[in-house]
Amino acid sequence: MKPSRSKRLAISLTIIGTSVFAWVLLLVNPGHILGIVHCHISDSGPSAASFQMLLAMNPFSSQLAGWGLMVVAMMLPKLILPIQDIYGQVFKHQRLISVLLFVLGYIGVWIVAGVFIITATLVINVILPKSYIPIAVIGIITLVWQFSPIKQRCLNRGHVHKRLSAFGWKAYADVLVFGVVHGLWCVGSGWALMWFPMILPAGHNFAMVIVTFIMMSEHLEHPRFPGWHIYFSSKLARTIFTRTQIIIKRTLQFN
Amino acid sequence: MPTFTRKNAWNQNGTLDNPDLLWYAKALQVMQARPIADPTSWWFYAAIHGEYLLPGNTLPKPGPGQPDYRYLNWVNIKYIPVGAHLSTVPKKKLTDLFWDQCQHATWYFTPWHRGYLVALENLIRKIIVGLNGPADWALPYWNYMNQANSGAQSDIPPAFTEQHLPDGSANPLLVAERYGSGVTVGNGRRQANDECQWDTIYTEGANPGAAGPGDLTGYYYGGGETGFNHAGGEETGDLESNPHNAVHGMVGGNNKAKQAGLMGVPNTAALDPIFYLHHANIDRMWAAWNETGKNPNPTDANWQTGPAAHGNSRFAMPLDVNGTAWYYKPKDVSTTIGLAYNGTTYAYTYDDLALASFDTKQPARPLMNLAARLTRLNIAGDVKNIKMANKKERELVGASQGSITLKSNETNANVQLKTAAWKSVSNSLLQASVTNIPDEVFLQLEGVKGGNDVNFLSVYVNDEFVKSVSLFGLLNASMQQGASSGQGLTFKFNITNIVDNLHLSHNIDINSLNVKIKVEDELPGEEQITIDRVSVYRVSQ
Repeated sequence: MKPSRSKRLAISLTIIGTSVFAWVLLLVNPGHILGIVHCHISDSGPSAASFQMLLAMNPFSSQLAGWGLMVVAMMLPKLILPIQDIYGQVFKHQRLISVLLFVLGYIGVWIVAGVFIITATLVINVILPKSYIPIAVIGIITLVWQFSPIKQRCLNRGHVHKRLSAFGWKAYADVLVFGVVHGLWCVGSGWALMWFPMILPAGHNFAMVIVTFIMMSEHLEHPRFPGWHIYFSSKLARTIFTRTQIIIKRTLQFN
Repeated sequence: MPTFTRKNAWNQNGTLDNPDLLWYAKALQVMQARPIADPTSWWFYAAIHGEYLLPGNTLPKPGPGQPDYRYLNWVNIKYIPVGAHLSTVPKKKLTDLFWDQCQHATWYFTPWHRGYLVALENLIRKIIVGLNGPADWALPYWNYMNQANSGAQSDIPPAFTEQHLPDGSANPLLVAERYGSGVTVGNGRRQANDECQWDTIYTEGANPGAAGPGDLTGYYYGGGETGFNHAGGEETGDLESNPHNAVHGMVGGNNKAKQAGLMGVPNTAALDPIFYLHHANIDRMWAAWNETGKNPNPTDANWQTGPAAHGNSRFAMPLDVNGTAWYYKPKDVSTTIGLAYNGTTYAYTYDDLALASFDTKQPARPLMNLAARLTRLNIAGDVKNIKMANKKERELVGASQGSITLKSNETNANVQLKTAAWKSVSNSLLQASVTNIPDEVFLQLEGVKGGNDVNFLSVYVNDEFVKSVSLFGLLNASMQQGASSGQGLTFKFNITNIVDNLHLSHNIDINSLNVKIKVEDELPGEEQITIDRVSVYRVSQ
């Protein structure tokens, strides 16, 4: 059963607050954990040695931490509805642990995806440092994926909220599996968009904001028939516009 | 602008002697002669509600052992003539804007359907005037709850079963794929009634009525608030659940091959001309609930603005052959007099605005009457003036283990109760007073999946009958391919009176509840219905 209005609001605000905190960390970028800040290539061109040097200057662990922060900042608001759903589906004393397990499963999938994406980004930086060729190629891949039926299928499946077992270890296993499965569909729909800002030589933060906006917007759309659709979702913009109108009207009525 | 009056379809015994029905039929002949690409055709208008025609919506070839629903694809429906030219669908921008709009299991159910009827009524009237018919024509309603003549009006009006119109032409009101003959009215199993009319709250958060809320489904009269993600099948209000859904299933019915009739499935229902008379009656009940019952509609901006409040599409109806749109919000149609229609005002009323036609007295059952509940629980005080608190907390108190598969006949499920959570329920009853209202308890069937839309499930708790529910919309809600996420339907039942009985008989300290679910109509060989989970919730005040 859906939680009450006040509970739903509290869940939404907690998640948005966490996401905002992660955004602040990202923008401040403590320890330069995000992006390839030191790029180097030897005179002899791409080699194992230059790859090792790049890794030494940009440790994989800090790259992965940055990626994790990026996932929390950008993706957490997309989990508001499933978390509200879990909150309503489990026993009261299991609510917090169930939500944490779900988020763990979900972020875990994105971390695994991050290992591949960061590795590919490092390789690209060794082969074509500071080049715009990778961004052009990945930009095209992102666009093709964006309009593909596979992506739409992933978005559709992301709307499915699993019915959870209530009792025993299965209750915990179910929320973890729910998080993993939800994460898989989310990675399926968003991997290209998430990779895009990673390989930008400049304007990384701005690109992340735009990508977040796009991903939130398409996530809010209703499921639709998978097919090749050249479509740019404006749902988040429409929602913000209408919500603002409603808030202004309410404020004027009270004054 | 005059005020049009919608009248009873059973006037002149529901035959084609009733001018409202005769002119309706004549106008339909005109609309049905138009191809589906024409936004003023019957076929286009039916697709506004829902369709199985566009590539993404057609029902696929079944896998081995799976039931075959392709008979519902519009190209296989005999009622649709060749002249509809189904192979030439309208332009994408028209289908994107207008088709597949119907609002079910949401608090927009009533306003969306009101606008749908108003647009069609105006279109038909224009055609009737063009045929030199009455300029005051209005859509008739079919009040199957009417108890005049020993309930004869529960049958489909005879005009809908005649082969020919008086001029000898084929009767467009007759539908080959309509297998039901009428509505079974009553308060028992597999019966339709108008008990919902005694509700006093439209939705959660609305102002509570003095007598306490009626809340049969847990989503009050008008349905639950729809947020960003409307997957469907979750928050059906009392009016929509019964009689609306029940009547769809009964009129659609099954044929000998166990195929559902058009009215029984949302994406074919609006093809049947009886659909609009059924919805005129649902609209009449809503108007009566407002005007006679003095119950208000939501004042919440989210409801008044409609789905656009959450970035979704606006409601849109085509006005002419070019597809000129009338966009409307729930607040535009929240009243029948002075309704905002396409830049002007429009007014209609009904010749009968009695609050209820069958359940004409407020049910004494505690579900419908908080004062009666408290009296029954021996709670002293000024019970008559109690108002319910708006902010209710919900908590899971028990659930079944694993999913349940229903075949024909009945299935028992054991709902295990969590001791600590259940203790909260029994404590709320032990400590109840007029200032400390005891918990309500709801049973929920979650993730009900299948394809037998015209069937009904009857639910019993500890052998006590709770309610029958229509499975209208089950197929769409269960489809994973296409535009649906396949979550299935969810049904909620208020079982507070059963828990009160346990308390009064000092038997409330239990570990489980027995839930018996009866499939009312035999399922065809390969069909089954599954339920992901049966759960019990407490709702505290």
